[in-house]
Order: sequence, then structure tokens, then C-alpha cells
Amino acid sequence: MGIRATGLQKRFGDTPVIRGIDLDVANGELVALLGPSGGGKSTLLRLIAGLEPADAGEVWLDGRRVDHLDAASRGVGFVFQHYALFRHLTVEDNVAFGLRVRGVERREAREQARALLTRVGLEGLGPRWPHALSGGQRQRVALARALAPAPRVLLLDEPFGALDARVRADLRDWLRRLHDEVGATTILVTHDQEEAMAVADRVLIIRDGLVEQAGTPAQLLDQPRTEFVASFIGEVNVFEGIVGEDRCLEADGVRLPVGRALAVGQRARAVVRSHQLRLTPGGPATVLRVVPMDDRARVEVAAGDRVLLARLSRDAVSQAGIRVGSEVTVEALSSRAWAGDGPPTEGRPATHRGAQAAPSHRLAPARSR
Amino acid sequence: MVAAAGCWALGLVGLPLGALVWSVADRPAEVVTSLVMEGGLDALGRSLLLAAVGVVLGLVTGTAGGLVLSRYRPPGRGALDALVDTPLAVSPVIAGLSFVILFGRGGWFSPLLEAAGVRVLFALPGLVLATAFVTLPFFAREVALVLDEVGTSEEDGARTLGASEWQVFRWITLPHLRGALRAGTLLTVARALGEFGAVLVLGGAIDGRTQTATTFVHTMIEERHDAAAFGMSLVLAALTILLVRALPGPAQR
Repeated sequence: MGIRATGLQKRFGDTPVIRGIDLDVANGELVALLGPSGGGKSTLLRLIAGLEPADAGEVWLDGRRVDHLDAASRGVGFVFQHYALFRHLTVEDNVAFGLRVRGVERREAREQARALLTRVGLEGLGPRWPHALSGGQRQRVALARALAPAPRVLLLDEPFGALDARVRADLRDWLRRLHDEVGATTILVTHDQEEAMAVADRVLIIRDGLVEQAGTPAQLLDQPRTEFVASFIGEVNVFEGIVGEDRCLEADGVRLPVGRALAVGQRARAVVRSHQLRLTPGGPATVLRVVPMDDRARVEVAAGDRVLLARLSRDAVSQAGIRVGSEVTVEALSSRAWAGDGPPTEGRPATHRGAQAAPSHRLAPARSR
Repeated sequence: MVAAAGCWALGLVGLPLGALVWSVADRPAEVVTSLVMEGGLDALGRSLLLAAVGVVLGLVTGTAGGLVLSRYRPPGRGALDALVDTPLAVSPVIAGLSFVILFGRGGWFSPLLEAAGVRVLFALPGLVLATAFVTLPFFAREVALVLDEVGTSEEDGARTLGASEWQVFRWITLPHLRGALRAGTLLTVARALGEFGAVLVLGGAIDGRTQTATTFVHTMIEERHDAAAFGMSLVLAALTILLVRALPGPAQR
């Protein structure tokens, strides 16, 4: 049993920050807490580490109940967004700190620290001062320091948040490999969905102090339970309209099949991922921008009074002759729709060439992302 | 602009200090003899003792106070904050007078003190009280400032690594405070050596018992022993200038 929390609650003054969270992380698993800033992710991590006292709920680490223990007795490794390296200690004394407080003799502690530094790819940097290192190096030192007492549980609070994009990407792949070697049960807090999807076995979407949805990256992408999850992960278009006789939602000139769960005449919102939009030459919409990204292109299309995002292969773009100013028809290959707070329904068109005879509805303006 | 600032500083600080040096350099032998004969060494020794006691008191109470202000954030923090700064605003003479009301003959605490056989007024404890009051803000201010600036994340990091609260203080917090404690020490010594009003009111400038370096200068001028007064002034000025020069810059704090 790795990390378990039940009924966790925390408020700062009158503001509830964690409003009842249950969490279960299996031994050796890497779970990401993903969500918008201010949603309570970091607070949840600090409650588990014992850096903040919880108002209610239990925390179990490795089968041991720890919510009554202070941080020093919980035995978790913790990595902070801004490294929190001890500025008055050299790199190797930073790493040795967790061993020294456990009574390991200085020489022995430094030797182990140097071995750990080698393991995180910082061989020979032991005598340096933390401020003489780059951001990426500092975060590796922080990780080595957290790993030194060999914790069974590792908690990472936005560890790559302060680094630039290139270093981030390198470090997160490296982190995943390190995790597989070390095998510590790990929770990673991030607001970067790409990072969460790339690194984690499972992702918990945290919003307003609650778990919105938990699942593997694929589950969250393919079966989002709420509109929030669907639109938070990946690049999406959100449409709003009324379900027609043909079980389609028509919004901004796009017909969206919504399946049979929604009643005709019901107001609904539908989420379509950018790669699920298809563009065909000729039609009412106009291409505003074509942004090449690797083998894909991100195409911005003006449809009605809003901008839609489509992502297609660059081959498809050139074959269809799509460029800035082209007139196109936008179709949705699949969508997920919600009516109020109800469960989602999934819809796929019977044929891609949708019928032209759909009754026209008055449509509410929908937001684009 | 630079020239004007230079002239202003020179005229206000350099000129009078220069005059002081000049008036002593004129008759060094007379100054030294007069200083020794009139009890200047005794007064200077007392001032240095008070400075040392002030530093010890400040190190303990000021560090604790700074920790409370910055780390524990008690409910009445704002009031405590203002209270710590009060000695900077209140005239030392007024402070001295307030202590007289408490400890003087017929004062609030006088029955207690008489029963214990302790004299505060016109005795060394009164001088210590005066020194403690005027130097109260220095350590607490410096410590709280640095703690606020350093933040709590390194301390939290040490906790997650298994450090007890004492180990966190000894190995993380205290090393961060080195510059602050040094600055607090220098400011406290400078202030303790220079204090006049409070030690005069509480001590009474009694020769051989409560005379300090500053009250000595005052007594010597009143008694027309100019040479001794100039000599002591020069010693005090030199000491404080040395102290201020030793203050760490912002980068070192």
C-alpha cells in the first residue's frame, strides 16, 4: 500500500481549499495531480507531507497512519518548485542533510551524497554552492537530497515549474526513468497537462478542492466525465446549442452528432477536440492562420463570429489546398455533449457528409478555447 | 549635485569632528591626564559593560522576538510589531521617567524591591534597564527582516528530511541569521555607548557608581574640565565610527 488519504479537508481562514478528497496511490505508482492554479493541488501535497495540518481526514503512508505525526516523522521525500536548497551548504552537504539528521557520520554521509549526485548526473558538483548551478541542476540536487534517506514516498510540488520548456521536457523524461529505477511511490503536482500525461501512470484532475476525475491519461482523453475535464486536457472547441430532431447540435455552422441520450429541444454543450474537426474545401468558413507544428498543422478557422481550432496532418493541409484565406466547411468527426450537469453522451456521425436539411436553431454564442 | 552633497556632509559631520580632533591634538598630555584623574576610565568601562549586557539580552530576547514576529505570527502580531518599534520613537528621557514611576521611591514596585533589598534607581540595574529599553528594537528587527526575506521553504525542506524543530533552528535558521545577529550586535553596542537621556534619568550620573561615558562628558563640561570632556568625546566618536564601518552591507545580511 503506497499512499492513501480519506476525507481530507483544509480551509485557510474562511476559504475551503480542500473540500473532501479521497486518494489511493498504489505501491510504486506515479500519479499526477493536475488542475488549474489555486485548485488545491499543492495544499493536498503539503497535507500528505505534514507541512500543513489537515482539518479533517486520514493519511496513510505505507500502511501506517501518519496524520497525527509531524513532517519530520513521516519519512517522505519532498521536492519544492523553487528547489528550497540550503543556501549556506554546499551541494553535497545539501544532499547529505537527511542522512546527517539521522545520525550518519559526516564522511559516510558525504560519500553517499556523492554517489547520489552521480546517479542524478551531477558527478563532481558536490563542492559547489547551490547558487552556482543552473535551474535544472538545482532541481536534480533537490531530488537527490529528497532521495538520500531512501523514502518510500516521493512528493513533487511543481518540480519543473520554474524551468524553461526545453529543460522541462528533458527532466520529465529523466524523472520517469529515475522513478522506474528507484520505485518510490510518487505524487507529482503540475498544472501542465502535457507533463502530467507524459510522466504519470494515472492522473487526478483537481479542481476547487475536489477530485474532478481520476484515470489513466488515455481514459481522461477518451472518456472525460465532465465538460471541465474534456476542455482542460488537450486542445478543444466548445459549442453550445439546442439538440435538433436529427439528434444533432448545430452551432456556428458545424453539425455535431450528440447520440440518443439527450432529448430533442434540450440545450446542451458539446466539446470537440481539435484533431476531431475535419476541413473540406469550399464552404462558409474562412481559414485565418495555418501554424505548422512538426508533422501536424494547427489551423484557425473563422466560423460565424468565432474562431475554431483544427489540427490536421500537414499532408492533409497541402492536399486540400488549405491556406490563409481558403473557404472551407467544418465537420466534427466525434464530440461529447453535456446537458447541464448530466453525464456525457458521445456522438459520431453515420456518414461524414452530414445532411444539409437540419432545422436551423437560434444558437447561443459559445466560447472558444 | 555631488559637490553639494559632499559639502553638506563635510560641513555637518566632518567639520565638527575635525574640530574635536584638533582641540585634543592641541594638548594630548593634558587630555589624557585629565581623563584618567576625573574617573573617565571607570565611566568608559561601565559603558562597555552596559553594551555587553545589552548585546547578550538582545541576542536572546531579540532573536526570540524576531522568530515570534516572523514565524509564529501570533494573533496580536500587529500590536507586538508596533511595540517593538516604540523605543525608536519615544524620547529616552521620557522612557527613563516612566521607569522612575515604576521603580523610584514610592513607585509601583518599590515595596517589592525594598523587601528584596534591591536598588534599581541610581544603581547598575537602572542603567541596564535603560540600555535594554533603547536597544530593544535592533535584534528583533534585523532577525524578523531576514526571516521574512529567507522564507520558510528551506525550513520545510529540512523538516521533510527528518530534522527536529531544534535541528531546523540550529542547522538552517540560525546560519541564515548570522548577518542579522552581527548587525544587531553592532547597532546595539553603538546605541548603548551613545545613550544619554535614559541613563541620566535612571542612573543619576553618580561618580564611581552610575557614571557612563556620555554622562561623564556632560559632568566634565558642567565642571569646566574641558580637556577630559573632549578626550572622552573623541574616544566615543572613534569607537562608534569603527562600529558603523564594520556593519555588513545589504548583500551580506
